[in-house]
Amino acid sequence: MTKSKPSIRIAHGIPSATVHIGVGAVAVLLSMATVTVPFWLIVALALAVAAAAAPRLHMAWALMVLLAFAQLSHPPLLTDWRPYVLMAGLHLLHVLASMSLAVPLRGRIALSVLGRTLRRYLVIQLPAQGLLIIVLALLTPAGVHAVWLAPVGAAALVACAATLVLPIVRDRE
Amino acid sequence: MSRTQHAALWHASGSLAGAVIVGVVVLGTGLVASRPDLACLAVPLLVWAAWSWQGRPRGEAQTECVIETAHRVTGESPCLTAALRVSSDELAEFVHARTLVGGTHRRNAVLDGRSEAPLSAVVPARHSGPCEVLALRYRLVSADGAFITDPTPQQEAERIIRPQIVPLPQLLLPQRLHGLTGTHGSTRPGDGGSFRDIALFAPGDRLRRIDWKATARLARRPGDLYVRRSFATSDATAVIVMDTGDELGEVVAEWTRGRVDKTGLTSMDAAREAAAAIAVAYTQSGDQVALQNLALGSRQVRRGSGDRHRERLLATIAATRPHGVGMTHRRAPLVAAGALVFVLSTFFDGEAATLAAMWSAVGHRVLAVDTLPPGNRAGLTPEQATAHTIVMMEREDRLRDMEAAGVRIVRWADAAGLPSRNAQFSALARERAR
Repeated sequence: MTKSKPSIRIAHGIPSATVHIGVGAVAVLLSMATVTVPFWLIVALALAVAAAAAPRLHMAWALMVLLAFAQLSHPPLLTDWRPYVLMAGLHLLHVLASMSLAVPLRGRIALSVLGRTLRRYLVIQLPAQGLLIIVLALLTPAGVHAVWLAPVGAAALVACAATLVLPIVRDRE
Repeated sequence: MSRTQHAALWHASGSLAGAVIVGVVVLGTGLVASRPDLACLAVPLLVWAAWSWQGRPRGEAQTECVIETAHRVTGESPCLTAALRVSSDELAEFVHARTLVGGTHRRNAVLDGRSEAPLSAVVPARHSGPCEVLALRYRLVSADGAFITDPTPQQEAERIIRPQIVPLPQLLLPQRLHGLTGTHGSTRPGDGGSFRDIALFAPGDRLRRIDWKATARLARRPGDLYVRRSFATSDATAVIVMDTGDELGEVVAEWTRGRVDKTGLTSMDAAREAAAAIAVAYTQSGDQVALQNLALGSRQVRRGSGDRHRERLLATIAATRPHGVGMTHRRAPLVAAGALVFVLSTFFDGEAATLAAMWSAVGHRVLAVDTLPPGNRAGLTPEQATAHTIVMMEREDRLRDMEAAGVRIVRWADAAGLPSRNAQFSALARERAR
């Protein structure tokens, strides 16, 4: 009788740890690129490790807030690469962290699953990058802050929250 | 093929709430701090959340899982294969399957939910009988893992592997044959057998039996006729009694763990192989064969003969699985009069040995087939080794008692230093001839 082990095979499969490693890699690279204060860098790296190792703790989203706030220490410049990288990275981190909640650390994952996720990522990310370029070009010439943005933005935030919350309330009723 | 349908309830995985919370906090901070670049960082997250919410699954997901199994005997390594297909509604983007392959190896797989999720499993066929190929539970996941269902109930697919048919070295016969037709020479007068004697013609003798030469030589009075008489041919009845109380492998250390990939050949493998060999040998020679399972306490297959009966026996033998220590018999189960009884057991408990002695005491020829494979004691702790030694000594005592009660013992698995199976059967065949 044979001594080979039982095995499974899926078409075009890769190790599912790729998703978890991706979470860790994106989180660490973003932290190194954007966080300049040593203390917060240590915190960010700790959160990155936790996000990759234990997705169910939802540390990836805490790290996203920290990384976004790190942008406050950099002036908003059209020629600065950080906002673009941060926008792409935060979105990618969110998508990978979301998938890592459902994908096991050990196993195989069909490559086509990641392909569709990548397509959706690009569909959202490309217009968002365009918007960021326009906003940075129009509103921050020579590093001037848009003071009037606060009330306009507050109204936009209320509208956004209403758009997101109202359907939920309607569904529950 | 195993096909099941499930309904699973969707619920949010937590990432949707994460995206909304992070998006609103970052957007709010950007607006409060008058930093449009910071506010823009929230846009992809909020758009993602809105997109996911818009396409959220409602109600229950209907899903179907099909597992097709096959037994492949190619080259020197026979194996079992399983092909899994999961189909579900369009909202399920991928399927997370937790599988148990071959009953021992846990494997995770994330399958594409939009292409019937093909997955194939290969399990080496180490044992005969019912073999678990693939067991799985799975859950459906929507785009990017935003929504997820509860795991489905476990679904299992097994395949029954028929034991290898080995030729029986000798066809042993019972003490008494029955009937006036068959393939075995009987001691009763009748037709079809070898020459018996020459006797005076008596009413009832057929005219074609008159031996004219003998009549011419021996007749003393006019009208004396002499006939050639022959022996009858008869059938034998064999009863296979399988003791399915336990399954013990070659590796003694695995007796308590029972990992099917590490046990080596087991007593059930030997029992199935022996039972199949006996069933095939006796039915091919036109004899009647019955099958009993001691652990189930019922007669599984009534006695019969012929090709269809042989197939019925082989299918039942192949599907036999260990049942644990079953019922205790107060009296031996009934077997056909004058039958040759094969008791297939490891004789680790006294039940099979007692019954074998009972059958022997009422006049049956009983053959105890010892199905315990040669033991490998590697990996045993000193305490386990001592316990094994004691258990084996008790078993030896039991076998000796059986032999004293007239039961003949055949060790099925060949072992170094002991007579081979062929030699044992040859000796037993000579025993009846005397």
